[in-house]
Amino acid sequence: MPNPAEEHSEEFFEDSEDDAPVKLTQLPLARIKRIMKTALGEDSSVKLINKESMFVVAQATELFIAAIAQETAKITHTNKKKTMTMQHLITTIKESENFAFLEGTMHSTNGRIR
Amino acid sequence: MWIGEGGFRAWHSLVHHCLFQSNSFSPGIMDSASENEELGATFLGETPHYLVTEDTEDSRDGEETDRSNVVLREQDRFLPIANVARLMKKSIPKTGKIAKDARECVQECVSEFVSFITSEASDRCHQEKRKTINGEDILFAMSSLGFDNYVDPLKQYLQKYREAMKGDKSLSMGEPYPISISNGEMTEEMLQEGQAQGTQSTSAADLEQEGVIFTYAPVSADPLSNNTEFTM
Repeated sequence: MPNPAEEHSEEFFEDSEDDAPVKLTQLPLARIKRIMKTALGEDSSVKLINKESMFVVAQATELFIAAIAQETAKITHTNKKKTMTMQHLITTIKESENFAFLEGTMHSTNGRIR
Repeated sequence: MWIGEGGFRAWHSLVHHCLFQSNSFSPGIMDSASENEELGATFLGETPHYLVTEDTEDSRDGEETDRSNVVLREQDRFLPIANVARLMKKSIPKTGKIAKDARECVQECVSEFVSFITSEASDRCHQEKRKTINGEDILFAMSSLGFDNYVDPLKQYLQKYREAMKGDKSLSMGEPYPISISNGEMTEEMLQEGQAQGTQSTSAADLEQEGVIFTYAPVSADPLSNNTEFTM
């Protein structure tokens, strides 16, 4: 499993050297929060999400996107294609234990896209 | 219900169209007539409330109808596709391209990932009888779910974040929110949440943990430097 975190982290810490305000994340925190809240469900006894955890999830998500893109790019390359397709993604998900939780998503995605 | 040629998005906008213009239904919106015939007949004949209910076999959508019979918009369920695509592009060769369906697929996978982590973190909170998910819970969840190679970099980011939030020496005077967070509205929301939570917490540490941001009056490194000289 490649570590996308290394390259990613260089960029992050580089920014913070400046005096300019640091942009903490590339992803909208409000949206992340909404998805997290949906996952918790209405009846959950755990109702609140503190700001820190949203930030960590945002960062983790960036790492996740980097990882899945990197892995899939290899498959695209192996197939001698220039364009990454959903089929390549499906292969990545099948072959990587880390992404096994996504196998269910693939089935419903077919319903959405097709 | 079979989703036709245009896919979920087309179906969704069709629903939207019909909800607000129920008398001016245009057959032109339909793509493949045969598959959508059943759908068309229903729109023309039935009462509007049919359109509001998510009637697909998509198991994920089931959880949305449970909450209220309102369809959660795509923008609520997913992160913006532009951000996702941009992050993907960073990790592939510059000459590489990403098909539209691949981008949309990753967009969905991302939401799945967030939900996955959140549920795991929430379980731990629940076990420990806590009501708020914090950063440590997320880190723990990452580790249990097989993403432990993310944990170290995440710990570093978290530390940077905490330093930034505390108001470092590099920050200007008197500014309550010196670090710009990409979504401005978040700050207020979280403050309110922190304040609501604040009534239950007693210590300052707890309050900060719950999301209330404290500002610190800027102090010079040497607290005695502004005072008059000491005479011995």
